[in-house]
Amino acid sequence: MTVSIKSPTSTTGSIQLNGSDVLTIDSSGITLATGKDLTLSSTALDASASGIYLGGTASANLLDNYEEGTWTPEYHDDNGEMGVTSYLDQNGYYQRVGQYVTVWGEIQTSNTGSLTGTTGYLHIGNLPFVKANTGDDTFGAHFSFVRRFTPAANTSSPKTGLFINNSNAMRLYKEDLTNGELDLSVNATELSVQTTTAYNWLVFSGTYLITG
Amino acid sequence: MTIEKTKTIDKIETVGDFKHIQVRERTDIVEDGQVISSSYHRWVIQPGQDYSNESSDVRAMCQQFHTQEVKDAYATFLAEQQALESA
Repeated sequence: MTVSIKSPTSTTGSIQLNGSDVLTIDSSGITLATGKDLTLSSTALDASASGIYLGGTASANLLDNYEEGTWTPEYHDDNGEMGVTSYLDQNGYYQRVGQYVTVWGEIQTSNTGSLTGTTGYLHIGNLPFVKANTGDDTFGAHFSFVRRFTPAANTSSPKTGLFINNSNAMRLYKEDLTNGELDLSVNATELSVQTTTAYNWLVFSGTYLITG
Repeated sequence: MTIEKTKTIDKIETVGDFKHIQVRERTDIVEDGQVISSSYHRWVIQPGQDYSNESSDVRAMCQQFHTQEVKDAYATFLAEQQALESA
């Protein structure tokens, strides 16, 4: 096996293996020969300045952002006020890929807490990114575990959430048990707190389009 | 060998039609001056939301962008959204 560096002109060059180009350098940049892979064994590729093209070189193929981290979910009402005085768990996680962010986590009120000044409907707020104004309700959340709400008669506990345009909150929805339709907003007062043996608990996940 | 944890607000940005302030906090675990691990925590400040407990840089951004005009416009937008969702 022979590795050589070839530089036929002042503006082009290549690294060859057994006389064949593996990597070429010219005014357009660095190009790997067909069939050759780039392997980074210990250091990640830094494309943070501009992103990376996948599947093509159009703007629609550019992946220019990835991020993961945590956030702190909390309940609020129509006015954005924090109506819950104490939480047992507020665990939120996110993963952003391009303009989409997936959030998941759990929120659990404390049995020592209470509701204060609560009006209107129940939301999970403090999401890590603002939802883009898509003008419709196409982005929702799924609740995989729901415990100890106090729904009104003929209605279910929360079953789904809708991410609100131009906001960092999702509004909770429940089922109308009289007709099976999943279109009723959850009242903020349906949270169960301030009891010694029962407290509210909700596990969620969802994906939405973000601004910027 | 010394290990310390540092927290820094490393990104403050305004986004969207109503100048929401997105804040990112970076936590670094530093060993002998070398960052060996990092993580992010995020939150958002909406127009009209209390920001008195935020850092001075974030408060300055909120003061600059969350004008009464922006807060009023956002309140109107949210009321319209609530009405649509309740319809």
